[in-house]
Amino acid sequence: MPEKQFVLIGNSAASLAALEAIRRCDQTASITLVADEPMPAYSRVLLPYFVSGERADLTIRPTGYYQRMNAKTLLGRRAVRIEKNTVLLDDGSALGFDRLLIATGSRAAVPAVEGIDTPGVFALKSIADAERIRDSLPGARNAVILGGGLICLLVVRALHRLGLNVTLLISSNRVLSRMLDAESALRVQRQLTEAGVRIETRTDAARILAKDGRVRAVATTTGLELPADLIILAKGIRANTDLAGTGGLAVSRGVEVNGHLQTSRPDVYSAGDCTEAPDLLLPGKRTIGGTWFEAVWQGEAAGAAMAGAPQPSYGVLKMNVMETLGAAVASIGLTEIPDQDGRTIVRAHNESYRKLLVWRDRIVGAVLVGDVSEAGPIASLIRRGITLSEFARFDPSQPIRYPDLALPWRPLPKRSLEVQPAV
Amino acid sequence: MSRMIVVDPVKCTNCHMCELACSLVTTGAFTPGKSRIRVHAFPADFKHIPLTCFQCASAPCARVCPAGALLQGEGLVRFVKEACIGCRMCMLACPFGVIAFDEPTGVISKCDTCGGDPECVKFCAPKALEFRESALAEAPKGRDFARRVADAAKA
Amino acid sequence: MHGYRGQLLRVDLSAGKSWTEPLEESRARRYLGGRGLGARILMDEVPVGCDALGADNRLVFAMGPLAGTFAPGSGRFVVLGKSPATNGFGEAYTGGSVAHELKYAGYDGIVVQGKASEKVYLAIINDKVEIRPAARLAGQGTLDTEEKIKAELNEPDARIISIGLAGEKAVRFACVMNDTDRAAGRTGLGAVMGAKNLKAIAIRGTGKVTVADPKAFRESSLANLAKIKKHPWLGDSPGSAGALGTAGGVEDLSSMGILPTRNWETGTWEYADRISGMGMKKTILIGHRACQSCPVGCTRVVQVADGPFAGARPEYGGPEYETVASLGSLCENNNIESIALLNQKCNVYGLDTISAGTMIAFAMECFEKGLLTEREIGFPLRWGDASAMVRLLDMIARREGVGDLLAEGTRRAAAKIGKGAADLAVEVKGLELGMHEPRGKKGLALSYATAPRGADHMEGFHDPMVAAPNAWPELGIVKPMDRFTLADKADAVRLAEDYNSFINSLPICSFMSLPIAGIHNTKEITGMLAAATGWTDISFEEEMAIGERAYNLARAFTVRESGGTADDRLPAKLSRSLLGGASKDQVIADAELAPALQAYYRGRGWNDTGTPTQAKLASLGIGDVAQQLKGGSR
Repeated sequence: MPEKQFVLIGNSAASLAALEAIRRCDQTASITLVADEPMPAYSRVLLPYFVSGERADLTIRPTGYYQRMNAKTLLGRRAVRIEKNTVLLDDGSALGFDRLLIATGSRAAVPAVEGIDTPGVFALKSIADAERIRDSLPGARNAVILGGGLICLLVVRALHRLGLNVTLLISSNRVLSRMLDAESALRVQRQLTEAGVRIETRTDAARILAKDGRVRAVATTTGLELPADLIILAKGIRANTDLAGTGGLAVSRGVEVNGHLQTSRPDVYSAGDCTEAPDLLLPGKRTIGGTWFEAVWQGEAAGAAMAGAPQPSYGVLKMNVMETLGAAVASIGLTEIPDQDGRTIVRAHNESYRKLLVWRDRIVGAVLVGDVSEAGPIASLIRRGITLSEFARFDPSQPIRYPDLALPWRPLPKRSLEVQPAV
Repeated sequence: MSRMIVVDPVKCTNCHMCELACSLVTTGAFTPGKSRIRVHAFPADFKHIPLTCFQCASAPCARVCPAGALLQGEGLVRFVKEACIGCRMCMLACPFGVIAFDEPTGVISKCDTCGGDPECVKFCAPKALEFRESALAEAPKGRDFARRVADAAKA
Repeated sequence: MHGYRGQLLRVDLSAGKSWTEPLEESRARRYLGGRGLGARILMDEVPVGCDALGADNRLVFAMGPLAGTFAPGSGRFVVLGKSPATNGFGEAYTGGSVAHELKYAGYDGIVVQGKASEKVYLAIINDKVEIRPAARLAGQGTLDTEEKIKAELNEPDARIISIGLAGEKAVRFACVMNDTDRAAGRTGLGAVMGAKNLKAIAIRGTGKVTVADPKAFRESSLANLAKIKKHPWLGDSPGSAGALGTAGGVEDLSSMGILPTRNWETGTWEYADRISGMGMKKTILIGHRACQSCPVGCTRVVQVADGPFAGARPEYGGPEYETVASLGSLCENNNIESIALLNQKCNVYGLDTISAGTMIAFAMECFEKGLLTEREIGFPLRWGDASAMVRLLDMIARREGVGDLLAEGTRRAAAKIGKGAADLAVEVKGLELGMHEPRGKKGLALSYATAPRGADHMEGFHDPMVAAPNAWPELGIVKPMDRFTLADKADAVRLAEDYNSFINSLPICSFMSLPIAGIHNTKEITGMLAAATGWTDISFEEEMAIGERAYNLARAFTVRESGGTADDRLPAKLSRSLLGGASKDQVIADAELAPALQAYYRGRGWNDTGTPTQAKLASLGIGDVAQQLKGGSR
């Protein structure tokens, strides 16, 4: 029987994880990896560190990696169309496949603001973007970041390190509004303003003002004019679903997949930023993971399923952790309880803040600021769907440690004799 | 077959010498908060559980690290301090919560078995910590621990 | 400074304030910490004739340079103050985690003076120190007090010192508790803490302890650890302290005729195996655990879930030797479950188990001999009646009915009862004896008679340990010693006491040292001390001098408070022979004791009434103390 042909479109977190997962099960299949960027896999998470000058080399796999993985690579080629069992590339060639992975990632959301295409406005999604930003640094003094999304904190750090005056322009009432609740967002904002970052909330860019063909300021909806030599877009991502669309796959905000990361075509899978997978906590709902972290797990699940060894059904559990100018923030799962049948448990201790969201007797979300060392065990708890009542001794207001999650203890007899004297 | 730090919680007497041995060799001072092995005590249940990095055979932390700072090896997940950007995704990935973050240096810290000669083991008189080839070395390391926890629960 | 944090925390409860006081290196080197430093502070600051329960008494919590490290046995501290039981030098030793935690918080000890106007507790979180109201903790036992404080401060990892109801009620042998089940038991310092209206001290420390030479320190510690692991009693063997606890030798003591039984009437007991370490292992023992930095783990953990004496829980540990003897053989109580419950109650109430058991045994003998009636007690109090013991213990802690009398300790209770009850009171200077029969260990008798805090079983040596020739060459103790003779032991006792006194000033657990455990690790201990502090020139001789200095300070305090002459008499019972067992017919007659005391005083450089002379004190560099001993005003 001829060996299976795997084609992976993409060369970032999801695709690499899928490649490795396939190879764990199947050493003989033929794997071809196609990506439009002409360089070996690099870490997009490291892009802000490239901008700040802290890292020069962003490669995320060692030299010789693809050879060791026995994967053919077609870098600098774009996949443009999916047909019955081939995928067409931009140079006219066609690749046959038994299994196809679409891991085409996302692009920065570009707001419809007058002057948005003025030179000096950047996204930060690729090395090319990062190089362009670095090229515009000499002489730059002021930077404005549009949006308070995930990327903005990392960009703030990088630009702050470079000594620029940074202003954050956020249309919602707080930074990281999709990730954090009001209290934790405020803590983060406090750290930023203490470091000299200016934050304008409930404000949007109305117009980008130019001078000599480059940006010079942002005019806001609240009538401010913020000088800007650089403007960075941090208003979220848009899934790259065009390729999926050519194959007639079900696409909404992202490529729709099931719990095994399979698209509407059983031989085509999708993982990463371009994918909308079932939400772990909200049945019937699909979510875009949107993080490197999520892309890795999705890629692994997709690869395993493609190789015929599917893992237990996957669900998106939105998780992220980041650090900004002195405060670490982690967010897991839901940031709001869906209905009355729940409560929040807050533990604020010294510089650390932890909020657990309990819904229908299960932990469904957590926000940690400061000390995020419990994040892993908490995520584990959420994934397992442990009910609080299963653990007689488990006190969610106390620090959560792994032994709390391990097999339940056989309890010793409870206090049977009252040895306390009456006062 | 590589050796690993094998924990037997039933033998642990809660003396915390392992924490002190670790903090001395990693920080030069006695400060258990910086130890990479932590003893979790549950006095009401009479359980004391030392926990440290399991050097997982397929470590979630290494799989997810976006900076190439955690490298999967045999019996060891190697931490490359210079590559770490302090993003803490590894902490999010580790279900055991045995990766810590060191504020002053801005990078994570986790057990590296002291280069194959773990200090904590030397100071454990009741032999709750041993450095040896695990009998279940082929199984995922997490399951090996769970087995011991189950034994402890039966005790 | 290395090892040390270089400061003491001072608290004035009358003024409601706290401050730090530097600890200079020269002072640290002279007194070390623990007993040495504590004795110096008491000598300097407690006014002569002070009321032990008064505001001017000091309550000192003294650690040392090794606490916070992995030096084996370094999880240890000493509580000191003028004793309300003996009116002399009060000191008590305890383990647990507090010593380490206080060092991490940044202090080498705490000195408390004054009296708060209402019940308070101290919260020490690194350099943040608060005096907080403790009204809602009144009457609570250790576990509940600790849980409430941890919740209130939101510090689940705090380590806590506390007293229970007995300390609040000024029971004269109330003790200071820490880490739920550890007791600084002797001399009634819990009453001192209660009299100051101080319910608890909560400590949380996230700092660090450094040592001068980490490499050498590690080597000495590992060398010490290796010796400990190989030791027959401290290491890993079926009869070890870890395996069977300190009560592992009860059967042997009974067969040697030196198991205190029936209020010191006899030395052997048919039910010894019911209360021993093995007896516990067969019944109520569920495991063992250790203090911080201890490789032995002598703490028992017991559980009694049902039966008439149900209630013992793992958080409260379990009974150790002194307890199974004092609340077991001494009262002829062979019910180990009741002993576990009584032990737990003593932890909850904060009562010294040695004195509590002795109190009850004394009351039992009084009842037997008609000196206390059933009407006075409220119920019959027969030998071995465990239920009655439980009832009586509750009454003592609450100072209810006859409990109010017995709460005064054997000496005072006997004086009040009169009718010859003093004859049944087995105590020295007002402190009940540790559970070691001096008629079968006469070197110990000398320590019992002379120890500054009263009848102290940890001050000197236990004769069977030096029975063989060449037992302790490090201390020059090489002649074989017969346990039944008192003659020619004075020097050996003194040398063992000085070294113990050094160990108690470090302080490290006596079980990791030569005179108490017979482990030959004096060099390793010196190595650890030198490497921790950087005092690379410290020698064994200097250590002995430190010990001798601390001992003399403690003795001087007791002498001073007794009006110039310490009362080194042994209880009347010891001049009568044991009724049975292998040490039967042994007595300690005055004719035997008097010359031994004189030889001892001479060896110590004291005058013939047992007072340290000016010359002696000056030779130890504490000549200033001599002023206070002149005339001894009261």
